[in-house]
Amino acid sequence: MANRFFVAPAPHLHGEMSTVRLMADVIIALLPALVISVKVFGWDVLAVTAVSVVSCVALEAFVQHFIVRGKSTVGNLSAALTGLLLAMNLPSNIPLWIVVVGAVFAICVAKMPFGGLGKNPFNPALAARVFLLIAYPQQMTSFVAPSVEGAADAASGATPLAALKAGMLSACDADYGAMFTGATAGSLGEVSALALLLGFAYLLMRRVISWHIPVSILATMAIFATIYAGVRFEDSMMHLYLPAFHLLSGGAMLGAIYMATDYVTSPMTKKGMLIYGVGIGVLTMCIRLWGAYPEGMSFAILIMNSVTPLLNKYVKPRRFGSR
Amino acid sequence: MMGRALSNVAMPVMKGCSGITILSGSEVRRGEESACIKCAKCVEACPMGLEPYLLAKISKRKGWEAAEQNDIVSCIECGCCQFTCPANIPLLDYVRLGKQSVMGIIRSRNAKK
Ligand code: SF4
Ligand code: SF4
Repeated sequence: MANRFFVAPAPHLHGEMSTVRLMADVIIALLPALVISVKVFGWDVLAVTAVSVVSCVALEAFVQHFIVRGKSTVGNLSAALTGLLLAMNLPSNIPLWIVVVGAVFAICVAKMPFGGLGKNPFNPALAARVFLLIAYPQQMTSFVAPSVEGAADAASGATPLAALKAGMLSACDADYGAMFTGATAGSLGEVSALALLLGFAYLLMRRVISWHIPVSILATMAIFATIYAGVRFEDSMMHLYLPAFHLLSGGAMLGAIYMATDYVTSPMTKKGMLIYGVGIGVLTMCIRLWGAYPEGMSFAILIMNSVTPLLNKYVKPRRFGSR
Repeated sequence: MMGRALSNVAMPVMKGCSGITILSGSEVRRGEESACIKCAKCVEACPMGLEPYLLAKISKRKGWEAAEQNDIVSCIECGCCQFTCPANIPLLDYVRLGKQSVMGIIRSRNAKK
């Protein structure tokens, strides 16, 4: 009998969760942002996304087949997700060859040398974004001004954050409606807070991620901005506007919801997640307020990524029965 | 979830046996193991507050000392971690192996005293 059947120890059941399903859920959650982005910036968006996704998947397949010589890992959709996230971090008018360079960096430098999915210390899409930002600062920071009609016009727009940094804009008279629904200049995925929050709701509902990381990041940023505004500005309107501005502008939402929550590079315990989130929030605000770059989200996340192993080592869950 | 598989018809029914569950083939199929994605779902699922992904990894490498430090013997073998793991890792198989070995080590250590 034993050789006709496969007999295994308990548990005999398995939940419906699978790696592929989780990755697919994150991709689904990013679709609203992609749609808004196409509406705001036109069809260029799809070209950038397609090039990014296809090159990431192709590169992963290539490395896995010819260098690792293992079973193909393309099927778990993680490379496709990396590609999509990378595209979300790029401006729509970026030359397509730079997108390919980014994909090469993400897959061949940040991910596969460490052993592929599950073992990379840094978020591949973010590592690639920072690499591109340093290597091609000009192309990475020239954004198309949004056009609501659907066709992107040639005038280049400044992101709200860059404008604030340059002193061209005060947080009091920024257009918050536009920042919420997406009619501002910026990377593909950072224009519409509404679309990103929709995706967040979906991820929470599917239990793909827990609330700890995004909420702790955004709350820390808001508190930090409030204190900063309280100390720096007399105007009490500023005390309300500055936190809202920082939450809605730049990569705050995209970073907090989709990049920082990347499983592989975020801590394993709830306590660790909260520490990680607070760290990202503080670092982001420091870079935004006092750093050379207008945007600090990606740097902050990468820095905290490097702290993650330490958090995993020292922040343990509470054992049942212990204090 | 915690029941033993009837590997042959001579298995006795004992006092503690509260029922026999028959599962269909598709329900019991074990998926193919893939890389741990560090999703922390097993940590969240564990009622004992352990870190199954870590215990399984340590047990695979026979790091019994580290396994003991991480409270492997507290595992109640409920199987929640393995049920929830999206990467289909047989976590409990590894943890059980580690737990047995660590308990053996503890017993022999106590016997020496
Ligand atoms: S089997 Fe052990 S390690 Fe796994 S969830 Fe149950 S108590 Fe935790
Ligand atoms: S549930 Fe599975 S994939 Fe997720 S952390 Fe635990 S062992 Fe890794």
